[in-house]
Amino acid sequence: MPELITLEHKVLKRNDEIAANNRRLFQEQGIRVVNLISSPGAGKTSLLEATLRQIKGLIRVAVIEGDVQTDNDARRIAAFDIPVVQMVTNGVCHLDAQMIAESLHQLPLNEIDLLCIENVGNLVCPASYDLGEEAKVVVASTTEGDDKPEKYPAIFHRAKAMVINKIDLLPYVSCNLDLLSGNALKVNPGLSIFPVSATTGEGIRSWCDWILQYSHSKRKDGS
Amino acid sequence: MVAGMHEISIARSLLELLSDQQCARSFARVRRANVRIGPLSGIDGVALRSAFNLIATGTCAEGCFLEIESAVLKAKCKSCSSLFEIRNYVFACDVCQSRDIELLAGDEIVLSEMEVESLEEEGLCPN
Repeated sequence: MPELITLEHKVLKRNDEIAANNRRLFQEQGIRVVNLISSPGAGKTSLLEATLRQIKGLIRVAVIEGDVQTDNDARRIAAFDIPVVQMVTNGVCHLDAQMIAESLHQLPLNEIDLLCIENVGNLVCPASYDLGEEAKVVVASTTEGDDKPEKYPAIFHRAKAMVINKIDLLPYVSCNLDLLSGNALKVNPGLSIFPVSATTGEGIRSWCDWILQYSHSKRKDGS
Repeated sequence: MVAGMHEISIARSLLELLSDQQCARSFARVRRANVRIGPLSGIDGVALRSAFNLIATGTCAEGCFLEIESAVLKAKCKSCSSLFEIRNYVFACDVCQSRDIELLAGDEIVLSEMEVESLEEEGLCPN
């Protein structure tokens, strides 16, 4: 006899539960966590490098690198002499909460103020997976066209901030910064926007101020 | 449409959920599962179905028909309390144009119901 069962269960329930555990652990340890998401080649690793140059001496930073293959990115970050874990997903197009939980065993949690997670280069899948982070940050770039927020609304909607990288290339590409920002604000009116060039360092200061505000507000919480 | 990597991951989670249900409720197999996906989930329903069919072979959901229901983006305005549908991903109130709104639905991936065949004989979890 067929039986009809009503469930209303979230399909990613298991991931969300692990993410909630991660989040609890981060709160206990007083770690602020940022999840960087972009398409491949937008410059997440370069942005991280430029960010680390500014803030490394000010707060204690660690990095989790997510890549489909290779540990190239982790080696670039390791040059800063900070804790870094490379997660190779072997074809999986996003990091999930379980991968983060596993990589935390390799990090000195009581010596970290800010954890930057560099997700796998992809604007679709990482948007669905909560890792336990406090903020998703979407990294767009001027070489990608200004309609990205219309094509990938989920990630632009869920992000707390958008970094627009490669503004040094603006004279050579057809990207319109106002249009890109306007499109992003349509799907997410509360989005903080930081146009930067990881190459020249332009704009990196205000982006870092935003990151530092995060870490400082944590300290004021007394955690 | 060919199943994308994303849909395969989601299909795998869906299958896990169905297997968990099988252990908890001891049924023979799932004949039909209804999944509701919102436009903000980033999931393509057709791709999800082909991914699911692909990996369900040899499980309690082999041959299960995956019914996809598309949810709409619904929001509530925090300024004027209107309830409205978001169109073209413009997150602003239909009535007063305020951008201070709360998303009520449209980002979900939910297994809403399933139709199962009962076990003919009593038994342990058939996994």
